Amino acid sequence: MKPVTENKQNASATPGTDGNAGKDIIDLLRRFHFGEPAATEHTAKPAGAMLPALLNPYRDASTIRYQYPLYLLPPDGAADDKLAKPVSEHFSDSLHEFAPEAEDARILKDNVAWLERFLRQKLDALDPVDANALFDDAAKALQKHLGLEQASQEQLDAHLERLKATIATGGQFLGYGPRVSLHLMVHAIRHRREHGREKFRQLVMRHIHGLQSLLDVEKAKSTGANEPGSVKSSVGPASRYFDTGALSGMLEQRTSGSVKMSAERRARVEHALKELQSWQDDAVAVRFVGQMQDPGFSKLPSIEVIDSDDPCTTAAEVFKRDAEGLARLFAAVRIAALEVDDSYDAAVHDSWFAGFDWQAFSNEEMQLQTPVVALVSANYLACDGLAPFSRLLGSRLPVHVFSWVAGFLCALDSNRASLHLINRGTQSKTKERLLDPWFVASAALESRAHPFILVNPDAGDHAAERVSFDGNPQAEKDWPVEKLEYRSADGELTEMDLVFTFADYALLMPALHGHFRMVPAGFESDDLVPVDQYLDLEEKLVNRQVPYIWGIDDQADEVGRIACAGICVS
Amino acid sequence: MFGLKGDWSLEVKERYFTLQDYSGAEPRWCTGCGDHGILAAVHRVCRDSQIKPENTVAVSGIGCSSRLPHYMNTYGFHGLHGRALPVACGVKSRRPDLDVWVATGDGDCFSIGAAHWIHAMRYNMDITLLVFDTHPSGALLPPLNPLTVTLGVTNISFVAQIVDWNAPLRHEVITKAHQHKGTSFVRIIQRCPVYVESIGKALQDEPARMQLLTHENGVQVDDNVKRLFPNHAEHDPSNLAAALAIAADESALPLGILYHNPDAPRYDMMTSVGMEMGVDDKLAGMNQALDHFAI
Repeated sequence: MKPVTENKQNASATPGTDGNAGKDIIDLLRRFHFGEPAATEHTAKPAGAMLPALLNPYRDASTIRYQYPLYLLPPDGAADDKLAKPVSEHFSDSLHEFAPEAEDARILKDNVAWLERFLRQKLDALDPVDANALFDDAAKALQKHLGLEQASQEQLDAHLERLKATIATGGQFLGYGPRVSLHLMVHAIRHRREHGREKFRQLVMRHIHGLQSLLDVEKAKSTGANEPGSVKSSVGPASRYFDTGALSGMLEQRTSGSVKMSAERRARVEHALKELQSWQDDAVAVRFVGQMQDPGFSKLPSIEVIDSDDPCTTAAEVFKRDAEGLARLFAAVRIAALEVDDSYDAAVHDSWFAGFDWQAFSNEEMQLQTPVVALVSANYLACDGLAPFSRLLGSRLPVHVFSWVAGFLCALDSNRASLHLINRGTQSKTKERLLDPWFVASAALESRAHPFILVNPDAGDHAAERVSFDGNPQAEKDWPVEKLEYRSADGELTEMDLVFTFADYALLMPALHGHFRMVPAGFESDDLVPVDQYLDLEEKLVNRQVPYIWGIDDQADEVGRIACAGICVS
Repeated sequence: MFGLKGDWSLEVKERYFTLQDYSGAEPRWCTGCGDHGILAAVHRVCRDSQIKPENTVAVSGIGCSSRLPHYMNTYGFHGLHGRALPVACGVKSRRPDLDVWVATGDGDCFSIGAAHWIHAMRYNMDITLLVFDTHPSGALLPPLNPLTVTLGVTNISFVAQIVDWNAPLRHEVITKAHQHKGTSFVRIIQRCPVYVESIGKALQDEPARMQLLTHENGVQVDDNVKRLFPNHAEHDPSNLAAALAIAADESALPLGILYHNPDAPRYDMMTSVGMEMGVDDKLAGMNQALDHFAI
């Protein structure tokens, strides 16, 4: 990567710390820092293409490999617990497996970056696509691009086939886009459902059979069962060889003395059986409630979108409606289990089942309920939605609230209301995006502007156990520190440690550029301090110093200091 | 940075070259000749570095080794006896953008071409020089140690020695030589199964007569390769005096990189100055220079 250059072009025009001009400059920057409008007018705003110095290498994301696209493993094809993995990782692992030596599958190994890039370009669409079909397209395109002679072409074809064989049927590729968090959530839910539902389906079938057996035995005790017609049908085709009327007469005497099922029990068993037989698996994997701004998403199979101006309240109602139906089903399953075991005790169980609702669901049962996700904006949560959101949290209903501003799996396992705050990596008010959204989202995480925070009330009894910051970069430090390689004004290749703070992230938002001002090139002053050091200053020193960050625009290819307004760092 | 890995490159090349793209005519060397392995190594290094065949030139003098340009699907120059290096230097001086390989033999380089050899080393142009040496004990030549001579030349920048029959070592050294910016002198002790079979065979039968040079800045080979050589010596390739001492020690044939100085000045950098200038610019520059003498 080409190192940038330190900007000292105008050093002679702006004398250093000793000259009056230098004093004027630092005074001007200080006045800007404290918000004086006149100083703001007399200083230069960063250009639209200005980026924090550390992010300059990522301007052209097409040349940089990152975690996307993802390979989503199909629910039934997952050999391990992984739901998804980066395509690059999957390719690299697979190639290592079937071509361990450096020279094995050499042409494919040398061009796997081309394949990845092709996939990323084709995945500009918003939704996951069938992995096998897209891989076929990529393989054909690669062959066309390379134009190899026949022997090499056949060799490459064979290796591409082997690589394709590692992609499970039903696997999907997912590129990074605005819907990625929702798709990942749906994918995680589908994974969990698939296993849980199949198990539950078998349980229901077993109980239907058990209850039917009970009723068959009961029927066998009735006099009607011994009538010649019933005997004939129960014996089947063999009945033509003997006198079923005589047999019926014999059996009639044998039934006397049998204890019949009570009417209440029979009604309970019949009701449970009816409930189980009428159960139909919900084809919908997840219900989204709210204003879906993206109409394409609602057309996807296995997703139901319910329009609502008040997503939190509607989501709670939808959850209760679904839970009511499931409560009847789960009660029937439990009653069936007790009846088959002949351990149903009306004195104990009747009252329990009379009040049976979602709060009595076991964890496994709760996982079978179709998740309800309220889609809300950050504004809604902070204004009109705050009251319904608070009520939802207080209700303990396990409804997910999804806001774009962390890991799903923990929340999907929980039987509580959960709030997901997602940074989509968008840059505000910019005509042309400067960075790939994935890098913007990464920068948000890196700068601690949107750190990973996981609050899980089930994780322990103490607050410290419930809050986790695991997954944040360089979590042991206040701010992540990275090395920036640059060429000094003397042409010497130099390295400096740069701290990446929320102020650097703010520079990615052109709407916030008003809070930054360019420090004249080459200007040096002891009163200019990096943001991280400024934040550590004693209070009495804060009024003298002006915090700055290092930035770079796409034209100059030179790093320069950018002063920050007080509002950025207060 | 977290997830932001600038060195995690997804750069793709416009064109991709396979080994076939560098393979020319069917090699006519004798069966068992070490030249086959050297040619394969050159093809692999070209493929690994993905240099364009049309930007590659193979130059040679006279001898078995000098058939190499015919077997490369690149530009080539099968020159006069002992004159491979002057041709290569000429090509490099006017076309510094080309990747120049020189294939020469011990007689071609150390005997009839000795003068050119010394001066080419001194120029230190960016050339990869492979000397196919079938007479490591000086059977053909008067007593002359090519390593000590080469290391004694002013401005020398890369000196290495390998045997043709150890493929991993051969590949690693030729790769390093090709990556080096300057003249890379690689002496390859080569088997000749027809005329001097005994020389190569004696070395193969007695690996203790060779000494593998190891160092973190030298050539990196794995333990399987190291095991083939009973004698090892830790040698820093930046140490010229130590390199000379190793080269002069005739008790064992050193294998690996003897000397490497990436900072030695290159003559092709000087000859290419002003190449982008047009005729008018050159005339103007010349007039300006001559104006100094105007009265």
